Amino acid sequence: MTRQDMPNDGRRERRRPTVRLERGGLLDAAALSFSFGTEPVLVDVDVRLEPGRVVGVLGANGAGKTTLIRLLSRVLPPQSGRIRLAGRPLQQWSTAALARVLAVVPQNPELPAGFTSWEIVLMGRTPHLDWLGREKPRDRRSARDAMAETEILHLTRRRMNQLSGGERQRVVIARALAQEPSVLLMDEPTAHLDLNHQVDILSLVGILVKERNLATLAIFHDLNLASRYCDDLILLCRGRVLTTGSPTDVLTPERIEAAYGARVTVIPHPKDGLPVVLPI
Amino acid sequence: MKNRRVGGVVLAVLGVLAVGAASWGAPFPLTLTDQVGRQVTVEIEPERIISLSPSHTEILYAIGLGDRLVGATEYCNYPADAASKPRIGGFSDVDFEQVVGLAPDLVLVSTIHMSEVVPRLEELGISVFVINPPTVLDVLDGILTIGLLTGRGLTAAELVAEMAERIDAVVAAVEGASPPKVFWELGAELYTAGPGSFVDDLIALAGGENVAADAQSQWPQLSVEAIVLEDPDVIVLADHNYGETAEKVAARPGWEGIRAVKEGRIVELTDDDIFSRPGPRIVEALEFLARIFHPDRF
Amino acid sequence: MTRGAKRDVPLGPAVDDPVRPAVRRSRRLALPVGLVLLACVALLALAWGSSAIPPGTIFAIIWRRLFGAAASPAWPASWETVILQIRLPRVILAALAGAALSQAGAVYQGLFRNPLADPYLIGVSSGAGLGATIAITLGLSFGWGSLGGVSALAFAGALIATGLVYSLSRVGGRSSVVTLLLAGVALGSFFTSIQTFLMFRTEDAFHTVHIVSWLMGSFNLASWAKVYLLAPVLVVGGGIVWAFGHRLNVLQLDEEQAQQLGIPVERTRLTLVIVASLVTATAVAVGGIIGFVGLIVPHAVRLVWGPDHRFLLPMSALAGGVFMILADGVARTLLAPGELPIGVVTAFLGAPFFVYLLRLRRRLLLQ
Repeated sequence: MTRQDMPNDGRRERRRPTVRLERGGLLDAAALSFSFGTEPVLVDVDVRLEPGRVVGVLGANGAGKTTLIRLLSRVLPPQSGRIRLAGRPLQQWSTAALARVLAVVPQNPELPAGFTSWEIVLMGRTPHLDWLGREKPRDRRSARDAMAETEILHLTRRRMNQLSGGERQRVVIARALAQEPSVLLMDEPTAHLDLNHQVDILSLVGILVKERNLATLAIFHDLNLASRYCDDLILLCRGRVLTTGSPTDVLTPERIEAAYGARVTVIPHPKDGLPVVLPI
Repeated sequence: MKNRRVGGVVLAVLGVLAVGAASWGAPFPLTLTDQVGRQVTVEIEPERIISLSPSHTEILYAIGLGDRLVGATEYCNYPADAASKPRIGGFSDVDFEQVVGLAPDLVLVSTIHMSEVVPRLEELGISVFVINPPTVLDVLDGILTIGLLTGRGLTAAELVAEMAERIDAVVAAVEGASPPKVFWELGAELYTAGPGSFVDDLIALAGGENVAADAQSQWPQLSVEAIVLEDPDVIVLADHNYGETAEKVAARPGWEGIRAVKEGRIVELTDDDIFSRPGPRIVEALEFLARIFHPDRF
Repeated sequence: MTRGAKRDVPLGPAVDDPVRPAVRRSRRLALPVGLVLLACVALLALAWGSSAIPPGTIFAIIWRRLFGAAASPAWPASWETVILQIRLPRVILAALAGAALSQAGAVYQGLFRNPLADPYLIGVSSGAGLGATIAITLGLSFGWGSLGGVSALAFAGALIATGLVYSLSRVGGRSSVVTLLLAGVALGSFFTSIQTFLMFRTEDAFHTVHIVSWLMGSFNLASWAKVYLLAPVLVVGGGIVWAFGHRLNVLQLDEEQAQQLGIPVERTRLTLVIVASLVTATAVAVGGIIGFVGLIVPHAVRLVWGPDHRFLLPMSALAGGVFMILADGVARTLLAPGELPIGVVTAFLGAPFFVYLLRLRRRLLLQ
């Protein structure tokens, strides 16, 4: 089942973000800092996410990228700085209300072996269910569409211990999509995927971001994928923001060397001129 | 002092006889307070009695109520007839179905049954009396009480009077003799009977001095050192039925210097029941011990 | 348009709820069948006991009690007492306790995400044991009938121990699974050592035997009072955890994901611990510390029907009730008129059955 077969419009309308955009970005974080004990992990980081745009986060390992997602999804409390979601401070959101608006695609999540991928994707509907956790046809439809879009409908009955790394990745992405969020945070969403799947997922995400007006943040390992699929980039170096801006502004040899300690060459892509990073 | 106590009991016995005689006409219904303070009312003379303790069984037989006993525990082995009664339990576990099926008028229990068995029997509407005499002289009291409860007050009083006489005789016989030090061995790990225990009371009445008389708990475990230092004159092996013998004791390292070992005064008990049951045979136990402690007086 | 139940969108063979259809069908039937099985086993168990009462008379006695009769009974009054006051509450209590322990075990296994978890994991058994020991060695009964003394103090001990474990493991307002486990082990050892000390120092040597047999569990002292205590606790507590079934499913992911999916992890965990501990403490207060049931029944149910707690919880309760009735039947008839501690029976019955299920599962997986 491909995207072309999807009946349209009547359903698409309901997927507009349920949160109105106010002044500033949908998700607005300023001066975030966090340390583990005395180890500073993030220092004075600003992030602004706006509907329909993908912000990529780059940096060497240990630069604090996953911690950033944890702060933005309120798994960890920032030690300084503030975060606002749709104008309201993040602290004031209830856990369930937050989950209805913000979804996270974690890197390497624990997924218990006994559940089928259908059951896992359906868990994405949790914040929308009633107090007894009963699923309605609406919920099942949302889960099914998410699995269709990530092309794993043929895997619904497989248990998690019967899936490859790439398939598990798509299950987790589908789960986040089933949540029908307005904000999407992704931690290295293409880490385990084959090249063709990497491209498929990222273009899917790109389409969905535009279609559903999602405010998206994605951590990237691969500079070239980040270059092609992000509207803006944040380059972190040892917990601090080295630079932000469009891919062309951020991906320069000097900046990349400062952040990664690697010497590279950057050339414009033959088709669209976006920067392509090559090792020397 | 002990003479005075026994004498006091004899007076009490006479008092009960007098009371019994006075209420000769209609002893039932009567209300008695049991050992834990419960008020127990017995409407009519009990015809069907169940005993949950071997000592109560012995008492019932001793006052002539053996045929009214309809249920007893696994451990009720004396007199021989008791072993043929229906078994309704062991130490503290009770088969309630059997108890109900036997339709008893009265159930005699011990204090160990207080926390669970007594409340359950009460719930089932069965009459329960709790009794567990802690000392030798309390046993006389207990026999009298059971006698009153079952309409055999006179028989019980006669039995008690005879027992009191025998106790008195023992106490008089050992009067003034210097008490030997006694170590009462309950097990090879050197558990013994401490203050407040029945055995401790027996030893004292029989004219002996329990080496554990000042111990911290009722069933203390003594160290070899302590026993050697006390240097008992007599060792009583209450664990003989579990394999301990005089030879084994004499062979224990460090024990050869103890006076009881040197003089060969190690007593192997073949029937340890009479020493642990607060019933009519305690006089036998007392006489036995007195002969061992003061052979010259008998 | 495909056949079948409600379909919102015509999408071909990818069904609306694509969990293995065979298992899903069997789930629908399993609960009512389980209920019927429970009733049948209970009736069967009424015929077992040390007094030989014919089954027909048993029915007649119950019928007469429920609906009355004109004629006077054709059986001795003691039979009526045995059936209505001894066996009936005993069978019902066994079913309730089995259900309570199994369901609590399923909750603990889900909360701790640990297949070795059982309802005694964080202090209930050591606290109850200590409470019961105190009651037995001091001969307390409080005058509350069969609920007094041992039951009351065992219950109090269980709750105090669990409360202590939970508060010990809270650091900065959060408790992690690992800290709960460690605190449970530490406090459990401490309470057990006090209990052993009391057993050692008790004035009456018989108390030790009594304590040891209580620790192994028994329904010999079952009464209607105990049934009236456990039944509402199980119904309310069981209902609450069942409602939390979906949240327990999501908690099987790690805490971070669960929170990101909208589950207030700390609050959910606290509620489940409190409710499951209360239910367990009540079951232990009325039946002693019966092992194995809370551990293996949920596993067995999970092996057959999968880990969805919305089904696992009620099914564990039903299966646990059936299992406990059977175990109690064996406990009271095998050595009649003596009683076998039911903890021994549950282990003897449970272990081989579980091995059988494991082999069955291996065979299924290999197919």
